[in-house]
Amino acid sequence: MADVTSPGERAQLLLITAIALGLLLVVLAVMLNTVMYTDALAAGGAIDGAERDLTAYLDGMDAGIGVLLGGVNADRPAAASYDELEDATTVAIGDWSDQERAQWVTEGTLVDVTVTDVAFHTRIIDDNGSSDFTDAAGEVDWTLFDEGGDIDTFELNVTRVGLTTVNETCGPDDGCFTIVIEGDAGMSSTIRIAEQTGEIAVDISTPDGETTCTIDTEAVTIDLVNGTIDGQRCDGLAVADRHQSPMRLQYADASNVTGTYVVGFDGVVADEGRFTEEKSPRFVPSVSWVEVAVTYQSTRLAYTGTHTITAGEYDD
Amino acid sequence: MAAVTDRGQGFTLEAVLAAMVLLTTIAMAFHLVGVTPNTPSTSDASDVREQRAIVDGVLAASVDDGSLQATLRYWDDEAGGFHNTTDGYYVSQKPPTAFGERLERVLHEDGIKYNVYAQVVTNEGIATQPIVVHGTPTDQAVRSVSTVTLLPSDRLIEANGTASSTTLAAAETFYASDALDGGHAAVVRIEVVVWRT
Repeated sequence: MADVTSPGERAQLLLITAIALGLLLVVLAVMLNTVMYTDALAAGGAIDGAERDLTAYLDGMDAGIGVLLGGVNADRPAAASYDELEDATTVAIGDWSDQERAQWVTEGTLVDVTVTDVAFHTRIIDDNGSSDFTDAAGEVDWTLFDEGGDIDTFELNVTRVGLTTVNETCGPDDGCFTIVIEGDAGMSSTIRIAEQTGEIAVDISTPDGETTCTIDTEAVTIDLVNGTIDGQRCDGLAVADRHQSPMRLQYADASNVTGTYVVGFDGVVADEGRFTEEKSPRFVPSVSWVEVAVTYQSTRLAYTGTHTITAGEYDD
Repeated sequence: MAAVTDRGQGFTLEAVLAAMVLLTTIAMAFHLVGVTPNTPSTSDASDVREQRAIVDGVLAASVDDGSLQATLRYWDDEAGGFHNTTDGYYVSQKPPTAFGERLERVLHEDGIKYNVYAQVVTNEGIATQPIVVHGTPTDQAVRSVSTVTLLPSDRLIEANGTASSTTLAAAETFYASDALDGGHAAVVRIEVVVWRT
């Protein structure tokens, strides 16, 4: 700009400066107002509400299907097969999804849940105390399961009468009742139960070494999860969680033992034909968890995903 | 002929700046009268957020500990309504259950009113069963929803809080009977509406 030489020009320059300052203040006010406006939108904005609805739906789905699975397990027939249990699960979740869809569609939201996988837990039970541990057909060497997950229960009640009598540690060819647990890396543990010098002897062979625990009694409870015999600690006996899944559980010379047993594990039995329907040995399957494909489509938010839902405890 | 000066440039600059002040002022005026979620009310954004957080928390906690599920089963099958009600639902009072205690402690004592509704699928469509009604919500009411699943083998709860011998499937007046037909589970959508008075 030219040199300010006249009072008029000087006044004009002052006026322009004043207007510029005024403009600056107005811009600052607009910026402040914008911040407050954005904050207000964030408090009640559409996206926030859409996310809350989605969260509510997913939370309700996790809890609801967990309850459903608990109900399916509680209502299963005594001799339900895996296929029957899977069908019941699929039907229950399909009906649940239909009801959810009918409710959410009133808000313009489409929801759907489809079962993509079902996993089982199994309890193998022989509660006939006067029978041996052979399978339903009387086979003495047999596989209970061969791709099992974690074993949470493995308890045997055996009587001294009926065990093979040996003078020293039981060997592979002595005909003693034998339990073999084999893990994923080919590592295995072997438990042999026999009568040795009038006592019940449990010979344990694991990748870490060999041990024998004996107890002078007529009948004994052997817990392979907690590693105890009649409640007393036996080193090396907790073989159930010694190996990594998938695991195989086999019995050998199962006619040389009398008593009861129960095994609980994640997975399915190797061959349903080796069990009776309601007597011993039998297996009781339950749904452990399901994997579901979820679709949620509202006017503001779309979501698809896969969820794994664990069965809840049933309590009426 | 007049002398050539640069005052014209000054006038131009002055006019441009004045126009910008005018336009910016108009823009700000529009901002100030803009319709925001808080426009009709005196409550501010943080209050709305607070109410949302509270009602979401109350609902989630009540689903987790089973108290909401128990309240849904607190049903007098002979009277055809929730226990100790005249209209079938609680009017301006809390349900005498753990869920009701939580609503009272967390919401009512903090000056927040609430309505609770159960929505179920029936043979005729979607039906709404009120559980608690405290009045008509204001425009600033906040809503939270959740879903509870009831099984046919679940039991009604007596007025004294003990489990009844009547299962939901066998109940005659239970609001979710249609959904429970055929041994199916019933999906109950719970809606809690809260507002500050």
